[in-house]
Amino acid sequence: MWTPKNEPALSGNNVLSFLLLEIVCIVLMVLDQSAKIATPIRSTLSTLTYPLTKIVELPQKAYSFINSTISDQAQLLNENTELKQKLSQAQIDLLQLDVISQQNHELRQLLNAKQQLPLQTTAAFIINVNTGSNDHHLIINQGYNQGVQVGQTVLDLNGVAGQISKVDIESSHVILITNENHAVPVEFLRTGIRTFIYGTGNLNTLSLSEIPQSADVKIGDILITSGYGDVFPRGLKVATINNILTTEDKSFKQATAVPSANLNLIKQILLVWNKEPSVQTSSLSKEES
Amino acid sequence: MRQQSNKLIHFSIVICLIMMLIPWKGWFQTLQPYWLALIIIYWSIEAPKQCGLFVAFFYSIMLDVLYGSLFGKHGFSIVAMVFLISKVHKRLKMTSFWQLAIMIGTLLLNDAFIRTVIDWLSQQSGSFKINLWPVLTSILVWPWFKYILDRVRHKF
Repeated sequence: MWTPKNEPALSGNNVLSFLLLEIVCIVLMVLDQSAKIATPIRSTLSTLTYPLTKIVELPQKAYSFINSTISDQAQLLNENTELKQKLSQAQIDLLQLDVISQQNHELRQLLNAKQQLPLQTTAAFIINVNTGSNDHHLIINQGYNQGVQVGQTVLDLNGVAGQISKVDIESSHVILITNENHAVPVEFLRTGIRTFIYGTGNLNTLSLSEIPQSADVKIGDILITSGYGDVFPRGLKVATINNILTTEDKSFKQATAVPSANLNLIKQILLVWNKEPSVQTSSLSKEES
Repeated sequence: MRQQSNKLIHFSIVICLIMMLIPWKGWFQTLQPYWLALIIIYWSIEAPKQCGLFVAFFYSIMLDVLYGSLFGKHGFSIVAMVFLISKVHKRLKMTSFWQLAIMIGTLLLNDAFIRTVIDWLSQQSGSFKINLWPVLTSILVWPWFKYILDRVRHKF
């Protein structure tokens, strides 16, 4: 049974390795502040964790596969007609859009501004959603091997969802705009006033605390990305104002907004590829001036 | 004291890592027990030689990679926890079931506190919120968790 021999010696050895490991952890935490050093370490280690994420992904994929094979024909036909209706509506919208984009093109030529390139996107599958207390993030199935970079914009079909924060070998982490530590440079679509929109830790609320006092703000105003800071491309829908707060603060107005992206039921996201960031900024600065 | 098979230890820890990754619907995500800490506590009490500081460090770094959290955050807190256990594991083995549960609650609370401090220091957002739900659910899960593992362990 129990003999003193079996007992591992609680000598200085244990304390030493404890201190060593804690120092290693602190060094790692400090290194993690720069994406340049942390990304290679992460992607090497993530080759080890990759099978685990695959295992978690598997039942979800199997479920959607089974769902698509088993679902009955009537349901599929129904869905088909519905989609056809939606498509024809979209095509009609597109016809009008053609005219508008032609006009836009001509106007831009008159103003001698550079053309804004259409966004290049790829769809990505969500492996894991973590919307626990103060850490809103997603894990998606595209990573270093697919060329994903830190800072890439992530959209859902209705608006901006977030940006890439960490890149692993075959997956990457997306920080949502509702994360408490996230801010997006935005502008009001109606008035063009620029400000920042902050996450609140709540999936349905974003907050604006730095609207100039003189600004004209109404409930229902739409906010789009302003393109400042070179992270989010310009002109993507972010949120809609739902409440204007009265505060004692004399210098700024405050408001809350509802994110356009459907973050509660997020299923599929689009990764935006920013091919030539330098060209876009120069075109932007021209537009501003 | 029977020598525990290393395979079982590592296999069970990997299973717990996977359990940490499985998404829970909506708000229930907040209630997810801290499986990795539970399994590491279990093995560092039952088989301290095989589940020492280095094993704990390795798996908690893996969790950091999987979660995309600050590198070494979970590592720091779990290594501290295993060190505390290694100081008193002999006594922990002898204590009664409920006393052990209370001890584990204290350890997990300490662990949550360390991680919150790290978050607070690294993000400078000014908000200092400890999420106590996982601590509570982990304590509630612990008796069953220990019972199942005890059964499994004696089969191998």
